[in-house]
Amino acid sequence: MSKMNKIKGKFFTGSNNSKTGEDKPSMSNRCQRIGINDIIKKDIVTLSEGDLIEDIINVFTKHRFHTYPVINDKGNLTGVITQNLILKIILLDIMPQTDHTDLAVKSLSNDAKGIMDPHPVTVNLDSNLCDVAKLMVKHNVNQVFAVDNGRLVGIVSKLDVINEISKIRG
Amino acid sequence: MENILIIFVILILAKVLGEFFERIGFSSILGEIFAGIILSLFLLSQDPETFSFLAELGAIFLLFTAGYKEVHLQELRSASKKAIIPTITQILLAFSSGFILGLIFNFQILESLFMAVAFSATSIGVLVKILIDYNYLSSKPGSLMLTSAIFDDIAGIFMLSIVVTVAELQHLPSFSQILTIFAKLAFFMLSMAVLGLKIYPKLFDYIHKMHIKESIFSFVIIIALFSAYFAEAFELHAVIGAFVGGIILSRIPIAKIEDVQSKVSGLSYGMFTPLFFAYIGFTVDLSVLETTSLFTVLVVVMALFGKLVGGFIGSKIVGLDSSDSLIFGIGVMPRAGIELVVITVGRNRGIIGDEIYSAIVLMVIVSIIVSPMLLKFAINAKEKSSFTSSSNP
Amino acid sequence: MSDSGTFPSTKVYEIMVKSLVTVNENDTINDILELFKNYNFHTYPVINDKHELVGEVNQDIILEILLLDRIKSSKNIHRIAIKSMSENIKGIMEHHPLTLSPDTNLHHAADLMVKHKVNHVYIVEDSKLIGILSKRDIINHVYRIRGLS
Repeated sequence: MSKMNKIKGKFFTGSNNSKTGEDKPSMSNRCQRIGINDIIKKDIVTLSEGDLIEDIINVFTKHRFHTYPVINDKGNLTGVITQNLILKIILLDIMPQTDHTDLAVKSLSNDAKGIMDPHPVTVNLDSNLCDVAKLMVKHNVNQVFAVDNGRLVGIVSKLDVINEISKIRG
Repeated sequence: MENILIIFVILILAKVLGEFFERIGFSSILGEIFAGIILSLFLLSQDPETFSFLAELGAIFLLFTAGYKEVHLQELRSASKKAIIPTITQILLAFSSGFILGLIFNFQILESLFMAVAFSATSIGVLVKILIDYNYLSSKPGSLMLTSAIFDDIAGIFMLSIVVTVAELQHLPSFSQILTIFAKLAFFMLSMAVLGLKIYPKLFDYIHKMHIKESIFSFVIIIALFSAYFAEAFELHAVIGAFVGGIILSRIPIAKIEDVQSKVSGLSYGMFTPLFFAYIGFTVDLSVLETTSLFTVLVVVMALFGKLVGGFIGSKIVGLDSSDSLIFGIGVMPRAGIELVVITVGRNRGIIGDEIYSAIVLMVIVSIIVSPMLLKFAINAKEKSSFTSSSNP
Repeated sequence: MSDSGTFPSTKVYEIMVKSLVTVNENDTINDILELFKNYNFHTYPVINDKHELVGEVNQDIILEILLLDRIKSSKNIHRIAIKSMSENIKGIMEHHPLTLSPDTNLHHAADLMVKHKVNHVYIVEDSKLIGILSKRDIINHVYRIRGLS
């Protein structure tokens, strides 16, 4: 029972015998008050539209991320390249026939622009922690890209969101 | 052409209205039911075959997804044993009020049985949000509600299987027929268990290596439909088969990977179950509701009170105080699931008439609207009294 | 190139990661939050006292539990609510994670992971957890082979 209370205290701030209405908004407010600017990672690894596949694979082996943003020469976010896509391209020869058509086309091009998935999930700089967290849960994405007028500013990862929220609660 | 129009209109109405009701704090199912009612106003006196067929698929997918995604016996095991007594009392009281009400109004035993089962189900989805808002999730009545609703789900599906199987016979079974039913059920479960433990795992080893697109997802759907059909072959109802098929697949890791799960839930919640709930609204006989006979009123009142009183008594027995018991009693009032499947089957088999059918749909609607309000009221009342009479936790 | 060209009959145990960060089914949610603070993994395998794989906990379920009071429109809200009250990992983990045996051919594993968007599989021998194979491991492996040739 004491364990239970500990968990409760952790995740549902406030006790349940009184003042239920007063503790909660503070938590929500805090979550809303934290702008993504506070949790955004600005020091990120990006790919350029002109990067060759070999370079991209190299990036995947050097860094730990699952997804990399692709930017054009103006610094605008134009697409993403995921682990899944790279693995697909690497394994083209052992993939079943059906998936070949679109992949074959992709593998013909040898730069990031030709293989990337366009239309990544982005947020504006004025969104808050709650917005981003909801977006991640509802649409099942592991990271969102923060853009300012199309220009890539940084990345918010699910892990950072979890750590931030558990910090607020704890 | 008309069929496409119907499906298009239903889906857009169901989703838009669903969002509306969700936003103002009720279940989105309400919006889906209303979408059907609205459509019935424009498409007078027709029962388009496509619609009823899609609704049948909706019911199958509703139960399949329940088994595939949501029932976890492990979670049940960790659920508090304390919940058993209140669960039994609330189901028992709701069941008997339905049954007795049926008998009083001179319905046949089989009809009364259908009503009784429709009275017994609980679906607390919306109330969870209120519990969270009021910080009551881990309170005594709150946690009791959560676990009781899970037991209730299982009990509901169990009763559904029985009553729906009986429905296939069109009359109350004799003793020997009961034995045959149980024999069939046992044989069906046994075959499903063999398939699930021995054959499906091996089958999926091949399926995931297949070259065709979406092989795993397709076979999950194939097994859902096969299970439904297989149950029918045993003269059980398709929805039971779908439910059992779902549980069996939920234990096969490769059939449950995230990618496949989200596709199944997309197909189910994004397409078929809204059609099922809309069909409920579509087939309601509005004239029954307009006249609001004594019977209709009593169905609504008794179904809600059965749960309220049963829940109250049960939680009193396990030692909750009166205000907590009241909160629990209100907590098990809302419906929105199994009972609608029960009455649809009953109606399609010609066992229950439009009067019972429409009254129960009304009862479901009222329960969805009334229980969140009552719950808020009860919690507020408790808060006030605990402020005045020293704040003892 | 044929199958054997890319992976000359490589088995998954040859490239799987053997040093794992695991959680015990009796650990608390706070323990897992600590892990999220200290490591970068998306998912943690859950083992019992006999070192058998019994489930997994990922970022998604943790985030859903943390956000329970913010996101109330989830279809699964009832389940998440129950999970949020659990005292230990056993109550919140996902059951039946995807497993392969150590002698599975690497190209089968890769094929499975790419086609069905699986990011990692657990390698299990006699129901004991002995390793994890992730997409990254395969990419790195292929990169190494290509680098040599």
